Amino acid sequence: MRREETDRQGVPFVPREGLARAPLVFPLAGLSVSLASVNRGIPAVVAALLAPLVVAGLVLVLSERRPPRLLPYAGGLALMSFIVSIFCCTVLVRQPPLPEGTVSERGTVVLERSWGARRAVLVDAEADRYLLKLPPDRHVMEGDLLSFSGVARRIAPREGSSFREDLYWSARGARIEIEASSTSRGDGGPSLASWRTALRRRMLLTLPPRTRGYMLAAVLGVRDPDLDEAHRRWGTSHLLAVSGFHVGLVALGLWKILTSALVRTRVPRRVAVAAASLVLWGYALLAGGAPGALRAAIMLQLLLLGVALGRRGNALNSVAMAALFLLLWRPAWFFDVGWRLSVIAAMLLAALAERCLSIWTLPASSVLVWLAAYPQVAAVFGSVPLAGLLLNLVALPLFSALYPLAFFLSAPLLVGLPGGRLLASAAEGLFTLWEIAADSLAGLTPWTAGWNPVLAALGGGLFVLTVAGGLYPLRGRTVAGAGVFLLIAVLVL
Amino acid sequence: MGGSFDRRPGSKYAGLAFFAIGVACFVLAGLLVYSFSGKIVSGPSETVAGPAPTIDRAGGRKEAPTPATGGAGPGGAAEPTQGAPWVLYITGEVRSPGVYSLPSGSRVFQLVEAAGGLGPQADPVQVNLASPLADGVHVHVPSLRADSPVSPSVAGGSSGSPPASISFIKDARVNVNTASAAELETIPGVGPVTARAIIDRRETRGPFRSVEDLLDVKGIGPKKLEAMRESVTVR
Repeated sequence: MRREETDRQGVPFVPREGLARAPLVFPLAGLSVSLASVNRGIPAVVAALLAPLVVAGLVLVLSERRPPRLLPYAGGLALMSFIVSIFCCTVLVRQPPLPEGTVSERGTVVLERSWGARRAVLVDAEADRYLLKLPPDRHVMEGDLLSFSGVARRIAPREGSSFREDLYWSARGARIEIEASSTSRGDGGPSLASWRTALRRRMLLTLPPRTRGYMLAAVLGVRDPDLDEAHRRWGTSHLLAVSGFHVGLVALGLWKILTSALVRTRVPRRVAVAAASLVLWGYALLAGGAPGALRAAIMLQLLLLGVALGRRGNALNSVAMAALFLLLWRPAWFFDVGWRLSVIAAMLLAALAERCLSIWTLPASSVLVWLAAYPQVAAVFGSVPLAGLLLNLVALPLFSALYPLAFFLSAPLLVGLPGGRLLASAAEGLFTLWEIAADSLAGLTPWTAGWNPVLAALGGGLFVLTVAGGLYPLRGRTVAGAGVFLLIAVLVL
Repeated sequence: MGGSFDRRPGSKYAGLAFFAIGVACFVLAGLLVYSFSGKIVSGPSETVAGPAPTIDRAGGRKEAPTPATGGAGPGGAAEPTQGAPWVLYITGEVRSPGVYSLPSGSRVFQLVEAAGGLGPQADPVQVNLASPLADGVHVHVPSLRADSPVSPSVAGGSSGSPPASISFIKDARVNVNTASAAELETIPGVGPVTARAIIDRRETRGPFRSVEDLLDVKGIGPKKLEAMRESVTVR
């Protein structure tokens, strides 16, 4: 039986739920609807108006009873969501000024990757960040100083293709492409990008194949094609994309070291937090600054700040804040499948953690994450392997041990210590064993789920319901409110 | 809005009124979307950025791996076809250079694997192992050694289509950081005086960091630099 409690003023105690539990989830929902709408051709101002309506709608349909300080809280959040939305929508639709004539610039290459038959290169020049697409024979590497000249054009969506190239590059900071007529490469000097290249070169040259692939993925965010193909088949591709899992492993390991050091050496807690933050961001950026890694780094940074200030945060609110930060930085992240999957998985797990996440509910949460991610993955990739349902139960705990172990086993070889090859062979053996086990387990569930609107609706519905359940007690009202929101979102968007 | 509701926490009517107003907010949002949809960009777009479409090996179906996967970019990956096998030539820093026959649609890494893998001196960063191949190509894997400066070139390829032939050939350009006076004089527009000035510049102020640094050399202006650009390199 629930106990009636009051505070010092005699106001009845109401358990923290909804707005009081994780207020930033509401503006994130509003901003998401605004950005999805602006992509449908709705003017930015109108799209921004949708955000406060969604915030107000969600608060009202989910609140079974009047929350304390409803008007200032909900009104403030609605106003904030409008301001955030109008900023993001305006940034998204604004056309960048195009330099006239031939552009001759010089800058550091910050990203280089395959792009069909060419290599896509992002260059941080003095005036802007530019995209260049070069023939594969031009040996441009991250960290190089690239001089180029050519005609500038805005990156536009390709006709007849569903792939929004403009949004993809906008999320990575480039909105102008240079059709380069001439390029010349020079040494860019020390930079994060050049360190990435040097480390990549070292790994490619020294480590055995499987260990090399996994270390490249975990440390630098670079994927080996064969390994990528295998993990896609197993439904465990997320292990190769630097995400909250990897950043969390680094943070957890670091925190363990620092807290034990704290006990022994009496290092001030704030110094430990500062050191942990530095390593956290260093890793997220060294790994290529993928949206999942950045999202996790922001979340963990909030957690660390909470530790430094002696306050405990809410996981769901932290995910929402991290997602909002990324969208404020570059609104086009909203259209990036990496951002979406990262936020969906993190919100779902955070919502479950609010209620019932434990070792016993882990299998069910794995199924829930699979279903919630299904609409995004199936829409983009066409199908989702069912093997992931089974393999992720094994792969996640296994790799949380295997990745750190492999890192420490390969580090001696990377720095050229004697006996390093033997240790790296041990890591290679472990990865080979994992491959054999994964192939066997994947053989038990060789099916894939193609695009299915019913399954997609089920996945979307479960996601909305789980997040709503993380905010409010899971009662009829919560189910009804989540259902109404989902129904209208599906009908309208 | 707040004053009209029952402030008691358990009020049933307040809850129902909240629900009705909340639904009204959603309906209003829906009406806005319905009224203004397509005002700026014609046609709806349910597209998702991030993935790069490629061709599925098994069924030829369009697939789109995430960019983070390192998968091939859009428009890119040549679809492996079941045609006659390709004859390919590989030299340089691989364990067994030679001529190999591989299935059509193969890529550079498959040719390197057929040749026993990269040699100990191979520079894997300088060769694009993911690059598509074509029948009859010659792939040269460059070395890390400083005495084998190579600059790859693609014969028969354009910037928009897969290269018909990949060949990494010895660089004919003059490295202004290491070239002797005689070598520098082979550069168009460079005589003995300018060659001496280039050497003086690198000896007094250190190596050139980019081709543009040549503008610091007495006797080299923007016009002359443009004439020289194709013949010089900086390493």
